[in-house]
Amino acid sequence: MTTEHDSTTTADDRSEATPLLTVENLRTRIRTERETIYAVDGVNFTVDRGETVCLVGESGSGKSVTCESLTGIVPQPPAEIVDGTVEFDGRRLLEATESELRTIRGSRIAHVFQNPQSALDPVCTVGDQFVEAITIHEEISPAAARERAIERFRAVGIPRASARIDDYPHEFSGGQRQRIAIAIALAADPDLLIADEPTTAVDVTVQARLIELLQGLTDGGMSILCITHDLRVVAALADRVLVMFGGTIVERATTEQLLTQPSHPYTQALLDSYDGLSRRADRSARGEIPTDGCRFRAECPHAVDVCAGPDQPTFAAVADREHHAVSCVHFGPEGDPEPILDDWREMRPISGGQQ
Amino acid sequence: MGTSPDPHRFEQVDWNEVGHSRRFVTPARAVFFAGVVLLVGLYVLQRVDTVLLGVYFERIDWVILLGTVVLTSGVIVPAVRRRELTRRVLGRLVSRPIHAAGAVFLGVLSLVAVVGPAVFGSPDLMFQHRFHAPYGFTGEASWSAECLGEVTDGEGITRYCDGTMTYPLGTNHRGHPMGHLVVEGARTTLYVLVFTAAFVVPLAAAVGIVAGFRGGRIDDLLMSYVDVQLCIPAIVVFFIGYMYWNVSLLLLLVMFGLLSWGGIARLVRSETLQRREDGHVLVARSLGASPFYVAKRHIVPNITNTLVPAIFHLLALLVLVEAGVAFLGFHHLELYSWGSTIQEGLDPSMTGVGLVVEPHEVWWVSTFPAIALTLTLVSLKLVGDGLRDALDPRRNH
Repeated sequence: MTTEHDSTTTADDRSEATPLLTVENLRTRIRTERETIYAVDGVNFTVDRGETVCLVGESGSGKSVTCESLTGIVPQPPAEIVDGTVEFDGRRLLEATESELRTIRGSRIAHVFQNPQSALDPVCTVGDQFVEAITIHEEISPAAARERAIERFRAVGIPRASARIDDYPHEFSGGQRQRIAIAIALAADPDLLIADEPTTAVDVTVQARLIELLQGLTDGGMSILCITHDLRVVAALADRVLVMFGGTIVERATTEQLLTQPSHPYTQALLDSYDGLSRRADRSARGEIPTDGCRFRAECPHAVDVCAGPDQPTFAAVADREHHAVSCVHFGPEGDPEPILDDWREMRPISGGQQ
Repeated sequence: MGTSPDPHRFEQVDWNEVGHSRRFVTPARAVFFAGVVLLVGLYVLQRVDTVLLGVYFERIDWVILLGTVVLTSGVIVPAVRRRELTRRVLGRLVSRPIHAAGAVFLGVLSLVAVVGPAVFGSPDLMFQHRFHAPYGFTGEASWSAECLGEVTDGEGITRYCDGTMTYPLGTNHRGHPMGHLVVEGARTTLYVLVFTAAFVVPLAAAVGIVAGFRGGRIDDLLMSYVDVQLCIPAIVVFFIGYMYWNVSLLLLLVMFGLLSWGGIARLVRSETLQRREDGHVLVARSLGASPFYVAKRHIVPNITNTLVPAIFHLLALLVLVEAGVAFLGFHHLELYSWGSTIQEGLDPSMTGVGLVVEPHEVWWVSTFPAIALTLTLVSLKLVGDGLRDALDPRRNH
C-alpha cells in the first residue's frame, strides 16, 4: 500500500530514534445539529517505546476524543478528523483505510476504557471475549487460545482463572472486570495501550492494584498512553505528562517537572483544585471556551490582549528545562513568566501544609 | 509478551491479504453451498424426468427445501459447533415444564409433518366412508354408504354408526381420515414456519440491524420503506395475486411473508440503536472487529431479549394467517390446511353433498385441526418466551 512507501527511514532507524507514536496537528471536530465542537484542535505529542505518557485535563477537554481519533474508533459521524498526521511505527494512520486500521486495532494499538461495567459483553463469557480478541487477528487453536486466556487472566490477578474463564461478566466484581478488560486489550500483544481513565470507575484499593498492573506492563516494552485526571495515577505511572484544555495541549513536562513546577496558569489551577480548597477567590464561572488563541484566557488571571491571537500561543521552554514546555505568551520571548511562577509558590506552601 | 519476538513483523503484513482471504470457508458456508449444490442437482435430475426417491417436488417444495438449507447452515451448524452453549440453552429451555411441553409439541409437529405423509401415504378418497365418527363415538349411519363399525338403532328410523379403529379420528365429508388431514395440515404449517424462519426473519433482522448500525441516510431510506410497507395490507395484495395467478401456498407465503416483517425490522433497529452505544461494542471495535462481526457477535446476541419473542410471534401470526386464508377458502384445493378443514367441519351442509348435517354432529372434523392449530400457536409463544429466558445468561433459574 502507498503508506508503506511514504516513510524514508529504515526500520532500524525507526525503532531507535523515532518515537513509536507521533501525533502532529491533530484536529477532530464534532458536528452536531446546532454547532460544531472543536474537540481536538491542533494537538502534537509523541510516545516513545516503553514510555508511559499521561494525558490530564478536565472533562470535555478533548482527551478521549484525541485517543479515539488515533485509531479512528471515534464515531464518524458525528465526529470528523479534519487535519493532522498520526504516525505509528512508520505508518500514517489517518490516511489508512478502515480495513488497514482494523488490523492495527487490537494487534498493535489496544484500548482500555473507563467503565468496566459496560466494557464486557454481558451475553458472552469472558473467556470467549478474550479469545475473540486474538482470533480477530490470527488463527489460533481453541486449546491454545484457552490456555493463553487462563495464563493472562492469572497475570492480571483473577483468582482461580482456569475455573472462571467460562463465567459471564456479571459474575465478576467491578475491579475484576477492569482487569479482564485490560487482559482482553492485551490479548494480541499490542505495542501501545491507550487507557482511557482506567481507574476512575473503581474504588480506591482496586485503583492501587490496577496502577501496579499497568506499571508492570511497561517493563515488557509496551508503551502506554493513559488518560486520567487523577494525580496519583500520574505520579505513579507517567514518565511524561501532557495537560489538555479546550482541545489543545497547554503544557508538557516530565512528571516531576509538572508536579513541582506547573507553569501554565491552567495547570496550576488544575493542580490547585485537587485538595478541594480553592485559593483563587476570583475564579470566574466557566463560560464559553474560546476556539482560538489561548483557550484558557477567559479564566486566566494573567490574560493579556495577545492571548486572543488567532493561533494557540507557541510552546516555550520553562526555565530552559528539557522536556518542559508551555503554551503561554508569558513564557515567550517578550513575556515575563515570573508572576505566574510566583502564583504557584504562593499556593504551594499552603497546600503542602494541608496534606 | 510471548508471540511477537520480531518487532518489525508489522512491515511484513500484506494489507490486501489480511481480512479478505482468511476464513472465507466457514463450516456454515460450506454446508450452505453443499446444500444448494445438492438442490440444484436434484432439480436438474427432476427436469430430465429422473425422479429420485419416488417424490415429485413442486415449486413450493423447492422453496421450502432451500429454506431448510438456509436454516441448517444458519442455525443447526452453529449450534452443533458450539455444543456446550447449545446444551446449556436447551437445558434451560426445558427446565420449566410448560416450556418443555411447548418445545416437545413443536418437535413432534415437525417430525409428524416430515415423516407423516411418507408413512401414511395419501389415502384414496372413500366417499362411502364419509363422516365416520372417531373411535369411541357414534355418528348417524345414514351419512355414509358403508358403516365399518357396529350399527345401533336409535329413535324411529335413525340408526347410529360406531367409530372404528380404521378411522381412529373419524373422517370428513370426502371420507378422508382426520388423522391424515391433521398430518397434512401439520406439513402446511411446517412449510409456513420454515419459510418464515428462513427468509422473512433474516430479512427483517438484517434490515433492522443495518438501519440501526449504519444510521444516517441508509437508516432513513430503509425505515421509510418499512413505513410504506407497513401501510400495505398484505391480504389485499394477496387477493390481487389470487386474481391473476394460480392460487398457491407459495403465493400466500410470499405475499404475507414479505409484507409482514416491517414490525420486526423496526424493533431490531431501535434495539440496535441502543446496543451500538454500549461499551463492549466500542471495545470490540477497538480490538479490530469489523462492523459485520460486531453486529453478529455483539449486537444480535444482546437483542435476543426482544428479537426472539418477536420472531416467534411472527411465526405464530403467519401460521394463523395461513389457516385464516384457507378457512376463507382462498387456498389450493389439494392442500389440506387446518384452516380449510376447520371450515369444512363448521359448514358441512355446503360441502356434504345433499346432506343436512349440523356442525356439532360432525364436531370431529373441525375440532381436531382446531386443537392442533391452538396447540401450535400456544407452543410457539411458549417456546419464544422460554428461549428468550434461556438465551439470557443473567437470568438464573
